[in-house]
Amino acid sequence: MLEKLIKKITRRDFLKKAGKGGIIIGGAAMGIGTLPKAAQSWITSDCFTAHQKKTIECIADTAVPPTSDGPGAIDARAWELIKDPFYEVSRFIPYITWDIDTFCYRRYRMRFIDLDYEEREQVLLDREVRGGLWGTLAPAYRMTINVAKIAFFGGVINRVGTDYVGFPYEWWREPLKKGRG
Amino acid sequence: MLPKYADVVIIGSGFGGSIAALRFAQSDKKVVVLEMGERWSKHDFEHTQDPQYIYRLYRDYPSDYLIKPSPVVITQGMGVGGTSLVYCGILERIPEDVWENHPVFAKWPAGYSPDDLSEYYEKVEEKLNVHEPDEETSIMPIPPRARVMDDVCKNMGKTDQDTEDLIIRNLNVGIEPKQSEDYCRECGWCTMGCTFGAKNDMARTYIPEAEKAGAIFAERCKAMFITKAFRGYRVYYRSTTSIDHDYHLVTGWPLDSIWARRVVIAAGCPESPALLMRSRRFLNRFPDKDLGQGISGNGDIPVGAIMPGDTGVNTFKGRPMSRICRKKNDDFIIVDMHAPPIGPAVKYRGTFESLREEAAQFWGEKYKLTLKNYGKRLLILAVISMDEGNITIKLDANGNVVIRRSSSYTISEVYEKLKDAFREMKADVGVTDYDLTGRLYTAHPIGGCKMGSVVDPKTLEVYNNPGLHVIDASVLPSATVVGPALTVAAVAEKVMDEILR
Repeated sequence: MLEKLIKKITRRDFLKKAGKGGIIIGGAAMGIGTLPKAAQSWITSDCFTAHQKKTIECIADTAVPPTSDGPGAIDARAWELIKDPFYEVSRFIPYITWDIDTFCYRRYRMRFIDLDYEEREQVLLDREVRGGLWGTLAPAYRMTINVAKIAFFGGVINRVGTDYVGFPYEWWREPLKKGRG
Repeated sequence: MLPKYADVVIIGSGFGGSIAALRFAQSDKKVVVLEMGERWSKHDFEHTQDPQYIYRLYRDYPSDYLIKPSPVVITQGMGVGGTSLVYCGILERIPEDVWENHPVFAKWPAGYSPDDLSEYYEKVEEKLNVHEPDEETSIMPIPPRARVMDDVCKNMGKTDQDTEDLIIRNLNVGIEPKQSEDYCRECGWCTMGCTFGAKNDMARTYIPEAEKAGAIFAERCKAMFITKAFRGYRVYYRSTTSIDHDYHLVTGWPLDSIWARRVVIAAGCPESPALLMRSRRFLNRFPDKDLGQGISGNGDIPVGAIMPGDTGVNTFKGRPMSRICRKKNDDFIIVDMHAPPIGPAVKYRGTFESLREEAAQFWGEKYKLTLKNYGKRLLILAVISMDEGNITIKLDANGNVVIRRSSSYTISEVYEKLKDAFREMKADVGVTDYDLTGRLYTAHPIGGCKMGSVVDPKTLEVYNNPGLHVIDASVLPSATVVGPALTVAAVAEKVMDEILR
C-alpha cells in the first residue's frame, strides 16, 4: 500500500503541489496579479516560461503537424511528455528555446513561433543536425521530435494519433464478446 | 534477504537460465537465480506503448540509440522469465534440410546435429505446448495480412522461376489453444507481455516448477562480475530497485555478493560475454580471443510496404507473427510481422520510396500523411537469415556494452528480392534505417562465447574454469535461420543432462 502511495506521488506531482501551495500562500499575501509577468508564467507552467512552452509546442507541431485529415502532436498533448523528466529533454528546454530563437532571429528577424510552417520545417531540419555550438544540442532536438512522435503515434496520453494511423487498440474484444459457448 | 551461499547461482532467467534452475533444483541443489528485471504476472502487463512501461520490460543496446548513431541496435526482454516474456510465442526448430546442407552447420561441434537435439526439442515442445495453429486450436489461424504475404512470397518465387520449392505454413507457437481456459485472444500484444496468460513463457512453465522444487528467484539483482573464490565462485551483484530506468547499465559498485560452487551465466547475448569480459581478470585464464566476437544478429531485417488500394492487409490484427515462407535448402525465412505504431513510426526509423527525397527526415507533414490509416495498408515482412556474424562487443570505461559491426557486413539478397516483389505489386516500398544509415536492428543476438572457442561444447563450461558455465544464445556457433528460442532451450536441456550425469 505504502509502495503504491509512494509510486503515485512523483517528483513532478510533488513540485506541482508545492507550486500550487506557493500560489495560494503568495496569492493570499500580496495577490498573484502583483507578481511580475515572467514570474506568473513561471509558476503556472511547471517551471517553464510561457514562451518556452510555446516554442517547444511549435517544434512538436512542426514534427507532427495537424492536417486537414487529422490532428497533430499538440492534440496528442506532446508537451506533457516533453516536459516529463523521464525523457531527459526537459532540462534542455531553455537551451533549445534560446538556440532556435537566436538562429531564427539571425535568419528571419523573427522568433521561431512567428514563422510559417515551411520556414519552421527548414529551421528544424538545420537545428536537428547543427543545433547549439558545434551541434551539441542536436541530440536534444532529435529527442524532442522523437518524443512528439511517441506522443502522437504511440497514443501515450490520448489516442488521436493511433486512431489516425488506424491502430485498433481493442479489436480483440470482438471475438471475446461473441463468446465461445 | 538473499542467502550468502548456494550450490548453484544462475545469472539470468530466460530460456537457458530457467531450464538450468529447474534441473538443478530437481536434483536437490540449493539454487539462487539473479535476475536484473522485475517479476511480472499477467496482471502487471499492459496493452500500452508508453515508453515508461517499455523501458521496464525491455533493454536496448545502446540505450541512447534514438539520438546517437549506432550500427546495430539489440533489443531484449527483461524480467523474471527474460526474453521469453516478450517473445512472440514462436518456437521453431532449425529446418533439417538447411541443417544438413548449409556449410555453416557443418562447423557446429559434434553432439549438436538434428538427431542429437531432436529428443530435447520434443521435451521442450511438450512443456511449452508447441503446435501449429489451425481451425481447431486458434480463433484466427491465418490473419488477413498473412494471406497478402503469401501472394508477395509467391510473386518473389516467380522471379526465381521456382515456386515449387516454396514452403508456406503457419508458424509453430507455444500458446494456449482455444479449448483451454487461458486461451489466446490473438490480440497481437505478445511483445508487451501476455495479459491473458496464454503465452507459454518461462515465467508460466519452468519457473513456477523450479520454485516449487526450492529454487530462489531474486528479482532486480544485476550481476556485476564473478571472481574465483574458495572451491567455487563469488558473484558480486547490486540491487536495481533504486534506479528508474536503464537499469541494465552498470551504474555503481556492487552492494552484495553470493558464493556458489557452480555458477551458470545465462544472461543472454550481449550481457553474458560482457559479464565474462568484466570478470576475466578475476578468473583462471581462458581462451578469450573470441570472447565478444563473431556475434550474429540472426540476419534480422524488416521490409515494409504500403500496399495499393484495399488489399485488406489489416496489419495490426492477429498474432504478431503468424506465417512462415521459406525455400527448401535455402538459408532464410520470411515471416509476416505485426508492429504497434510506435515501432515503424518512431523506433525503427523508416520512410517510403515515394518520400525518398525527404528520406533523411522522419517527420513532417508529408511523413504524417503517408502514415494515414497505414494500419490497414502497411505490410511488414521480416527476413531472418544466415548472416556473417561480424558484430563485436567491447566494454566502455564503466563496463557497459559498446556494439560495433564490420563495414563488410552484407545482408541476405532476399531483402532486395522482396522489395522487387513489392514493387511488382505496385506497393510503396519502405526505405529502412538500413538503407539510409546502415543501421540494423536485431532481437535475436547470437554468439559471443561460442562453444568450442570460449566454452567446452559438452558441458558449456568456460575452459579452464571448472563449474562456470554459459547456457544461453551466446554459446550458439552461428545464426539459426529461425528464431533461436527453441534451439536455446533444447541445448540447455541437453547440456543439463550432461552436467547432472
